Amino acid sequence: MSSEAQDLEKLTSEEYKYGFVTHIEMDTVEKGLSEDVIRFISAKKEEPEWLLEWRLKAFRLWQTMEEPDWAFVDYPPIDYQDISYYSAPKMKERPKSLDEVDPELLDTYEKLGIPLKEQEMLAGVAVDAVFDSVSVATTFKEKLSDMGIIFCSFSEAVKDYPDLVRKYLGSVVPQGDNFFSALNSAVFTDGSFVYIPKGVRCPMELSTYFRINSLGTGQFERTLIVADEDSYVSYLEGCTAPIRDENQLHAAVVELVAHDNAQIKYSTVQNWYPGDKNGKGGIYNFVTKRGKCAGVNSKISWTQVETGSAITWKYPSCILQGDNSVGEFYSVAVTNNRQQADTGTKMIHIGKNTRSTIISKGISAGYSSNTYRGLVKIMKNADGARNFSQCDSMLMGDTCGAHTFPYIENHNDSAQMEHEATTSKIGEDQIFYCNQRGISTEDAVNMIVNGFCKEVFRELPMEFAVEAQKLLGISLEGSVG
Amino acid sequence: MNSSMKQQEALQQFQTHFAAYEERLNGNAGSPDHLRRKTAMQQLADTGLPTLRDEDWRYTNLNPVLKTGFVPSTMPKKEVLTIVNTREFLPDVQSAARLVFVDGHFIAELSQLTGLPQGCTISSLSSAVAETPELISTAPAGVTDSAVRQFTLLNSAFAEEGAYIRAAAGCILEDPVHLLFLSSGAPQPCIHHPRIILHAEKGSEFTVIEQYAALETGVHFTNTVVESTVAEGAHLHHIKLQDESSEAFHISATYARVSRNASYDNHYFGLGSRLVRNNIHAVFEDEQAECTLNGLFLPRDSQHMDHHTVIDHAQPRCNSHELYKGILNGESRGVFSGKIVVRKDAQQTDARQASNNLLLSEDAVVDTKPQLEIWADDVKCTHGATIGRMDDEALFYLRSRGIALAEARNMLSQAFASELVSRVRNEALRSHLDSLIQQRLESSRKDG
Amino acid sequence: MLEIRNLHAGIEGKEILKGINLTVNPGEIHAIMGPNGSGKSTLAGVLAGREEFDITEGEIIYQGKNLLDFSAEERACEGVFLAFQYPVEIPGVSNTYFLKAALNAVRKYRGVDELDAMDFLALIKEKMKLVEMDQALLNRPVNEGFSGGEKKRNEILQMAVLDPMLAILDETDSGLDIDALRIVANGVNKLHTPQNSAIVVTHYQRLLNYIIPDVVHVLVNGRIVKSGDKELAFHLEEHGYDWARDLREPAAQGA
Repeated sequence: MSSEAQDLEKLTSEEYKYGFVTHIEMDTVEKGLSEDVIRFISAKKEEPEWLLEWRLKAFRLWQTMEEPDWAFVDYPPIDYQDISYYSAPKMKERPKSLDEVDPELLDTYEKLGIPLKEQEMLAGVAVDAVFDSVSVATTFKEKLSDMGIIFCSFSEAVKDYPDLVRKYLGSVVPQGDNFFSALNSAVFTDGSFVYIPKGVRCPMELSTYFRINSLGTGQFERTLIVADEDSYVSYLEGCTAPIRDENQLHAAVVELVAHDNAQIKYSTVQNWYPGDKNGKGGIYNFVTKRGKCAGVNSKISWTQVETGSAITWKYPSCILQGDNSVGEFYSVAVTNNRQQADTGTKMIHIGKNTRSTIISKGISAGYSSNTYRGLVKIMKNADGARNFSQCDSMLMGDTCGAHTFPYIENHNDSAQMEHEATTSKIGEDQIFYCNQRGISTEDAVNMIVNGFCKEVFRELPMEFAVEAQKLLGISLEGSVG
Repeated sequence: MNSSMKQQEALQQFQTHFAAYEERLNGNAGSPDHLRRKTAMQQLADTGLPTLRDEDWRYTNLNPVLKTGFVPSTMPKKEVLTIVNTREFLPDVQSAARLVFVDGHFIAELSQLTGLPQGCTISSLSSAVAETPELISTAPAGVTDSAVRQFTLLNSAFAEEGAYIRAAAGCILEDPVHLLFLSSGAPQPCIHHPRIILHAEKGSEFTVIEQYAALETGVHFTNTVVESTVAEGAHLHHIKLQDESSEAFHISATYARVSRNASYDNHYFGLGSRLVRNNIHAVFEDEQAECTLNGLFLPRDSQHMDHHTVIDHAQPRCNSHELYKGILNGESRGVFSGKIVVRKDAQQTDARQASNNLLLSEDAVVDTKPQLEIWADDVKCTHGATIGRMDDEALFYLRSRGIALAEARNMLSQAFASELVSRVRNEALRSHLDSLIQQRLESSRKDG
Repeated sequence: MLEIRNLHAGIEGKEILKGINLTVNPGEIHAIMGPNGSGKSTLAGVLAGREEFDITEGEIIYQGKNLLDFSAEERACEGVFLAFQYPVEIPGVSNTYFLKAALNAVRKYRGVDELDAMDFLALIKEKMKLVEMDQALLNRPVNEGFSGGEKKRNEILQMAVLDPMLAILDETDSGLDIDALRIVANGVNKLHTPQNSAIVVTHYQRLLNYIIPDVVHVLVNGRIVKSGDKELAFHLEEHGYDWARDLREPAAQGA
């Protein structure tokens, strides 16, 4: 591990609390969505006129759209007028100490080995102490800015780098792309912005984790990452601990742009609150993530470990526009109890000799439903395009479902596409074999599941991979035997 | 459901046809048969015809079909019939019986229905219906799949002719039954709705060859429905051979219900028409049954061939195998959408599905959508799909041994197709298929 | 070491073992021979704790404890090792990782400190020599893509690492060519000490040329119909199991 990474780890494990927290006044707008509400949000954030117009355009598009119903998920209708689109953190309603937090949640933190202070933050305990972390974080920020790297909250970026934001915002996911992206474009409150200048290799993993900029902005998050020519960045989103959140609906948008020879690696661990065993509560996670390999030889790689949320609806995609560009999607999606996941990717091959790889591992347990849905599209001029897809499902118990819906569309005869899918369960003979070697059933299941997911885990940054493995075991606890 | 203009217009056209039919009913109005048809027409009107926005139709644009004004087909002229040599359509294949239809009408003088073994009933649908009117149902029970429902309803509203085959318990028919559907190239675009009913009763076995061919080119629309039931321990082999006019439209729905220890296999060989949409919906109704769906399609020019299959593992311990292959030339488009559903209690299911596609031209397009929907845990399910052009290395190898490029391509295509031909049991039919495929590949090559 | 008394066991209501009596003392190697379907693998499975078998009568005393009270993993930790007739493939889980997890589970149970990665690697390298196994196999998933011989050698490697008191080799010789057989047998012999015991289940006498048993039992139709020394194995080889089938007298007790 490099010294930066060590520092980073130190920071993440102790001092996430550092105040990048955006200054928010304690006011909340009435429930409901209208042009006035959007004007209010924009004004609150002191946004330029063009951004307000951009939001309003999104809102008008959204009004003409219907909520998609094609995904293999089932949830009661959402009343979009019953949501407050701008609210300050509700400090009063938060638990005052860990004693007031659900013991099951704490138990999970314990198993993940999360430090106490961090537990408080994750559980939403109203702590106002700011730790003496300023120096460490500042060191990072200085180092990054020395290299010309911009890494800040979206709101800051709008103020400090309006030209960059204006140039790229919506360039990959236009406002009217889909129902949820339109909603996000209209009302997003904050998120992250990253710009890596030409020829720069970002020396550390950039993580939202050490820049939690405000509590409770997660609902309509907006992330924009631009990697200019010959640059590289690895970005980590989320964390393994289940985060408590009062907002049920999450509709984030992530846009990535990779120019000539640039590489973006985007890793996610998603463990939002999945609801209880009977499917009560839990987050609806409706995310639009898309990357554009705009330049030649560019590469975008999505890796995700999805264990949380009551409903996951997300398809991190790549538009392979530049010749020889590469798109990758590695995914582990685990559903247990009453969770529903409909996730996958789209690989759109436009440029010549573009390549894409899809490795998807779905694990279903309990009464859950887990769907892979993917599209591989080879356009007319994408000579020599290649795709390989592998979608494996593992079922634990006979009350869950695993589904695979790949769409493969080929308009070019020189393209080569291969798709494979298998469905299996953990064999009783495998468990017995492990038992006979002294390994308990629980450990055996963990071991087999992690083996099943190995091809994805090895794409994750080291520390993340270890956490993800632990997380999987916890998510599947009690589902076998 | 909102239908677009073309769908509305086409529906109105069908409703006009239906009104005309009702006027001819005279004293039979209100009969159970009339009411069933009326229900089918009403349900179709309620649902509307599919559009590209329907998930099951996203790759097949029906506008060319819908904008053609079809008339109900009329009895072909006598002189058309005199030139037909029914033997030439399946040379050397010995058949147990033959039913010949021209433009959807049963032609007794061209058919051969004598010398059938005991326990075997083979007749035209019209004569079977005369005895048992309820043979034509509104739609097979339990099928709600929008992919097949609308055109089945349309067939149910209008179907008057077709074939009825029933093998009584234990009856085994060695030679295939040949169903030959010919189109005469009538000057006005006509539509016909063949209905085929196949019953293999307990322990019986037979083979059906369902063949579509053209006497002359011309625009017509065939909308077939096949309903098959395979009872305990019975085996039904179903071969479909389709080589219609390049201006024709063909939509079909084939239903199979398979019982304990029974098997149903379906082999499709498509040279096509302008637009083809085949739907197959197979359901296991009891344990330890087997289903095989094989298909080979070879579109060229601007042909569009769409194959939509569902295998419903509703019961445990059943096996299904599915292999669809496309060899595409010209600006043709091939679609494969195959779904395997494994229901909650269908443990120990073994389902395998593959879709392999070979692109012989730069402008051909393939869309494939292999799907698994699994609700049981102790199952073996796999699917695979490949799309690509010919293996350059293999081509080079053949050429390095002195085989000309065109010949080498032909050889490799033929080899690609042979896997499906080899699965047909009837040897004479196999060699006929081989030569049809050979001809198609060679002619495509010249055109290309 | 092990005493089986009047063991009756079956599956789905069908009785397979119909009163097995067998005593194995420390340091002994017992061979159990019998035709297909005589219950050899059932006996091995029951000893190792396969749950699909119902024990309807009898008891198994292992080192003074009632073996039937233990789960499969507890038996493993107590030192009962089954070399599988068909070793199971576990995709994605590397051999090394699997072995380390197993060894540390056993060590933890026995109250010994768990081994760290370095010590473990040293141990495994040493043990690998015993079965002449290619080191590349360590990083491959457990048994996946292994040849038949490699799988069986892997079983013996696991045995060497876990150091059991009672090893049960279930048809370990099946499917092995003569070289592989020699390597496997050699491994077993080297692991044998005056303190531990082995039960070798086999159909053929061939394996017993390499692993010399103290006692040979003939199992027919769920009963031990004859016990004797290694000469009995030769006799069986010569006369076939039909000869043994005719033996109806109750089994002689093990030595």
